[in-house]
Amino acid sequence: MATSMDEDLGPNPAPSADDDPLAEERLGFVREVGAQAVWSLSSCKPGFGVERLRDNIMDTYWQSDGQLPHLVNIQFHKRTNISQIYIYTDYKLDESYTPSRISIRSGTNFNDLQELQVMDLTEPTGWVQIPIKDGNVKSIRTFMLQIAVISNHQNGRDTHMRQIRIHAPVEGKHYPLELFGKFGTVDFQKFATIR
Amino acid sequence: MMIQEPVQAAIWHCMNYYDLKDAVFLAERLCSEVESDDTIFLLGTSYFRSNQVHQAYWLLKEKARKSPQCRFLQAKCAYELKKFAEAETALIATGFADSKNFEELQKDFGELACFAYQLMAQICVRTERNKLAVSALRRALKLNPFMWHAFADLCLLGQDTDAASIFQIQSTDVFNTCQGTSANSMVLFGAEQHLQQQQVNQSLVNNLSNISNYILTTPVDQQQQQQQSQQLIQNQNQNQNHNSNLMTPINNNNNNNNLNSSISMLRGGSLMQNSSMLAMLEDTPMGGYTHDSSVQQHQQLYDMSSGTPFRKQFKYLSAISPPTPSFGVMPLTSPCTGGDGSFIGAHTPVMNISSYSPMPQMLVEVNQEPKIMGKKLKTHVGGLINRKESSLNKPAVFAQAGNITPRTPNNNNVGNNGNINVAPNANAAVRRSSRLFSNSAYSVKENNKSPNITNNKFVQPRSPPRKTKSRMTKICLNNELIEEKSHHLSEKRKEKVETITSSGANNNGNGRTAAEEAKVLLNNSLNNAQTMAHQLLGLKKQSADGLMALLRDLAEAYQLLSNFQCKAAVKQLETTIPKHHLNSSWVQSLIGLARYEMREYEDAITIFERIHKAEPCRLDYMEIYSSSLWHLQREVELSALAQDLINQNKTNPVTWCVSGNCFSLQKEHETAIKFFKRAVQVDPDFVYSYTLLGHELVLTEEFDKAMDYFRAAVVRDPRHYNAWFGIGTIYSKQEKYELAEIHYVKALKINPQNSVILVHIGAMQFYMKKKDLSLQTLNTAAALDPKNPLTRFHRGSIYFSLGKYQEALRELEELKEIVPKESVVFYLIGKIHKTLGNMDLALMHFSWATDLDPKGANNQIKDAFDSMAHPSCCPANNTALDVDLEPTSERSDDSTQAQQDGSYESEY
Repeated sequence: MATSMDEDLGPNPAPSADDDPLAEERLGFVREVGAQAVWSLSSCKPGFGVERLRDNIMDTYWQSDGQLPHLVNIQFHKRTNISQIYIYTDYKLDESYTPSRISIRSGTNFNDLQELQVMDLTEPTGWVQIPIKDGNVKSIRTFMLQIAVISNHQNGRDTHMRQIRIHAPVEGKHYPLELFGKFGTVDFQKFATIR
Repeated sequence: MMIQEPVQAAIWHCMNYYDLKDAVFLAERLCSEVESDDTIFLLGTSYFRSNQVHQAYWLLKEKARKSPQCRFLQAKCAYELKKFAEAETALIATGFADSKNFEELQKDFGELACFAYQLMAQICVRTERNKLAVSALRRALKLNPFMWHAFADLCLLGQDTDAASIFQIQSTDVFNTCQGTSANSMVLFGAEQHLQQQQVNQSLVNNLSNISNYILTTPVDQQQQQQQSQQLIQNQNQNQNHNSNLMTPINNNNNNNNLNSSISMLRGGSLMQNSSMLAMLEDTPMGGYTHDSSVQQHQQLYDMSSGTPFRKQFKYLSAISPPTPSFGVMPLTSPCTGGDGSFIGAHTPVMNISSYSPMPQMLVEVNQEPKIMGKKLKTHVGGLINRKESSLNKPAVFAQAGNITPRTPNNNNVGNNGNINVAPNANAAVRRSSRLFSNSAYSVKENNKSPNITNNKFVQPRSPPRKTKSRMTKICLNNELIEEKSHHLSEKRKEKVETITSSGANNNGNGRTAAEEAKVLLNNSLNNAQTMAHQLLGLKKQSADGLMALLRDLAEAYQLLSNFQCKAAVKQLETTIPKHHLNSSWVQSLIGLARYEMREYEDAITIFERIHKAEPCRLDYMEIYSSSLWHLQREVELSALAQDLINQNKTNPVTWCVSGNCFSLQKEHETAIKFFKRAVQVDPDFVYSYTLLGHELVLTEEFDKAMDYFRAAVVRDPRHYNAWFGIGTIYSKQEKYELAEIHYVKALKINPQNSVILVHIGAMQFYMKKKDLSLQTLNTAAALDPKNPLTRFHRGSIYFSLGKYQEALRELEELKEIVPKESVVFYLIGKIHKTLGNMDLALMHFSWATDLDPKGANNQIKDAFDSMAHPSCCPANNTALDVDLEPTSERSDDSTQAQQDGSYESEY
C-alpha cells in the first residue's frame, strides 16, 4: 500500500493542476459527501477555523494553533462510502505551514481509529488527491475519518489547509437498473428516470 | 358624525387604484366612527388586500359580524393563515362541514355561495375530506360555471367529471349566482366612472348654477359639502324609499321647469325615461348634464348598500373586460344587441375623455333606451319625428351633434373647460360634490311638489321598463361584451340619438309636445320591452354559451391531461381550441406539459422556450420547462433560465425549483438541495419542490430524508405520481424490491401511460424472479412508448440472463441502430458474444464500448477486457486501454461484478 502511495507521489504536482475535484464531481463519477459530516479540529487560530476548510474559497485557510499532529475529524451520521479525499494546499503561499506528511485514519469513533495510509507531500500547490481503499475495494465504508498532519515543510509547527473535499463513489452497480454501468448518452439517460 | 357613504366610496376608490395604505387608514377612521357590518367588512377588505391577513383575521374575529361578506372574508383569512378549523367555523355555523349543511351554506351566503363552496372545498382538501371537497366543488360549479379552477381542482382530485355538463348554461338562473353584486365589484364600476364624473361634475355645477334652483356655485368648497352631506343622507334615505318602492311614481316632483322634472326623473332612476326626457331638454347641456346624473345614479347605486333594484343593474358593469370578439357568436342583425354596447360605451374611457365628450356621453345616456327597444322603436320614433329623414344616416350624426353643441355653447364649453380648471381637486371631493348635486337635485324634486299632469302620465309607465331592465341585467354577461356588437350598436345608437335630439330640437321651447312624443315613445318601448327582454335573454345565453363552449373544450383537454392521457389531450387542444386561444401561453404550456409527460422533451422545450420568450415573467409551468432541460442535460439553457427567473421573483417556488434543477444538473447536489429547500420554504404547498428535493436527496443517498420529502409530497397531493415513483426508487436502491414494486405500481396507476415507470416495474419483477412477468411488462412498455430505448435494453439483458442469446442479440442490435452511441449497449453485446465464444466480436464490441466511453465511467468495460486478455490475447491493445483508464479505475470490485453479471442478482 505504501508503495502505491509513493507511485502517486511522483506525478503528484502534475495531475494536481488539472485534477480538479469539482470537475470530477461534475462528471458524475463521484459525489461530495463532506457536507453530510460533522467536522472538528484539534485546534485552530481564532478566525481560521473549520468553516474555512469548507467555504469553497482557496484564499482562506484553516490554521492550527497547537502541537503536532494537527487533526481534522470528519464524522458521519451513518456509515458512508468514501473513495478519495482531496486536500488543497499551496506551498508557495504557506511555505513552512504546508503539511508534508499526512496520515488518513478511519474508524467508528475516536477510540478505534486505524491508519489507512500515510502520504508524503512535496511542495504541493493545488489539489492533492488521496485515494482511499481497503485492499482490493476502491472505497471504504466508515463512520469517521481523521486527517492528521504529522509534519510540515521546513519543520513548521502550525499548518495551513485551504480546502478538503471528501468523495464518495457514485454507485451504479448498486442500482439494479444500471447493472451494466451508467448510461452515457442523453438518449438513454432521459428515459432512465422521471422527475 | 362622519358620513359613511362618501367615505366608503373614497375607500373603495383608493382600493381600486391600489392606494392600499390610504384605504386602510380611511377604513380605520370610518370604523372607529361607525361600527357596522359594512365598515368592518371594508376595513377587513382593506387589510386583506394590503396583505395584512393576520390583522384582517383578527379584526373579523374580534368583531364578529353576521353578514355573509364578513364571514366569508373571515373564513378566507383563516384559510390563508392555515387555520382550517376556524375557517370552517366561520363558514358553517355548526363548525363542521358535512353534506347536510352545505344547503345552508348556499342560503347563508347568497351570491357568495359559489365562492364559499370553493373555499369549503379547499378546506376539505386540506383536511383530507376529499369527498366533501368534491361535492362542494360541484356545487360551486353548478352555481357558477365560470369557476374554472373549481373544475381544475376537481380534476386534480382525480374526479372524472363530465365537462360538457358542467360548462353549460342550462337555465338563465345561473346568471343570478355567478355574477356578483357585492359592493366591491360595484365600486369597481363606480371608480371607472370617475374620470367622466370629474369632468361632468363641474359642468354640472356650472349648468346648475346657471339654471338656478340650486345653491352650489362652481368652486365647491368643503364646508358646503359638509353641510350638504347632511342633506345628502336624508335625501338618500328618501331615495332609497323611492327605489325600493318601485311602483310609487315620483310624480310630485315635476315642476314647470323642464330641467327639474328631468332631474327628478333621472333621480327616480328610470334611464329609459331619461332618454325620453332628454328629448325635451333641448336648451340644457344634455351631454354633461344627463351624463352626470347617470353617473350619480351609478354611484348612488353602489353606495346605497343593499336592496335597491339598481344594484342588479350594475353588476355586470362591474367587471367590464376588454371586449373579446371570440366567445359569443353574436348575430349582428339582432335588433336588441344594444344593451351591452351602450354600456361599454359608457365605460370605455375613450368615449368619456374624448374632447367631444358631451355628445358621446349624451349618446350613451340616451341609448339606455334604444338598447331595449331596438329597431322597431327606432322606426316608431322616425315616424313620429318629421326631421328624421335627413338625420338618419350615419354621417349626419356628427353634423347633428355639431348642431347641438353650438346651440348650447355656454353650458358645454364652460362645463368642459371649467372642469379642467376648477376641479383639479381630489377625486373624492368631486365625487362627493357630485353626489351632493344629485341629491340636491333630488331634494329639489322633493320640495317642488307642483304636480304636472303630463309628467304624471309620463311617470307611471316607468316601472315596467325598469323591471325589464333589471331582468336584463340578470341576463347580462359582462365577459361577453362584444366589440362587433358595440360597433353595430353605436351606429344604431347614433341614429337614435339623432332622432331624439332632433325631436327635441324640433320642439324647442315647446315642452309639452315633446313630452307627449316622449310618452308615445315610451309606450312603444314598453310594448317592445317584453319581447326584447326575451330576445335579450336568449342572446346573453348565447354569448355565455360561446365562452362555455370554449371552457368545455379546454376542460375536456385539461381532464385528459390530469388523467395523463397526454396524446388525447394534445389532440383535443390542437383540434378544438380556436387558434388565438391555442396560441395563448396558458394553452401552450398545457401542451408543453403534455409533451413533457410523454417524454417528448425536445418538443416541450421548444414550446416552453417560445412561452418564455413571449412572456419572460411568466412562471407557470417553468419548473416543467426546467425539468425538461434537466432531462436533456441542456446546462446552458437551464442556467440562463434560472438566472432570468431569479432576477425576477425570488418569492416564487418555481424560481427555486428551476435553480435547484440547474445545480442538480451541474452535480452540485448540496446547492441544489439548498435551493429546493428554499422552494419549500417559500411555498409549502408547492408539491413539486418536495419531489425534486426528494430526488436530489436520493442522488446524495440520504434516503431517509428523501423518503420524508417524498411522503410530504404525497400527503399534499396523493396524485403526484413523481413522488410515488421516488419512493419506489428509494426502495429499489435499498433492494427492497417488493416495496419498490408496490410504489412503482402506485405511480403507474396514476399515470398509466408512463413507460419509464413500467420499465422500472419490469426490472423489479425481474429481481423478484418473475422473469416472464417482467418480460410482459417490458413488452407493454415498448408498445406504449416505442421510442423508449430502455425497454429494449432491459428486454435484451433479460434475454441474456435467461440464456436466450439470439433474442438478446437481436434486441440489442436493433437498439444499436436507434441509439448508436451508447457504450453500455456495446458492452452488453460484447458480453453476449463472449458468452457465445465469439472472442473477436466480443473484443470488437468492448473496444467500441471503451471508445464511446472515453472517460472510463464504467470500470466494467475495462474489467471485461482484463478478463478476456488474461487467458489469451491482445496485450498491446489492452495495455493501451489500461493506461487510458488509469486515473479513475484503479481496481474495481470486478469479482462481484462478474458474479452479478452471471446471475443477474445483486448480492447487496
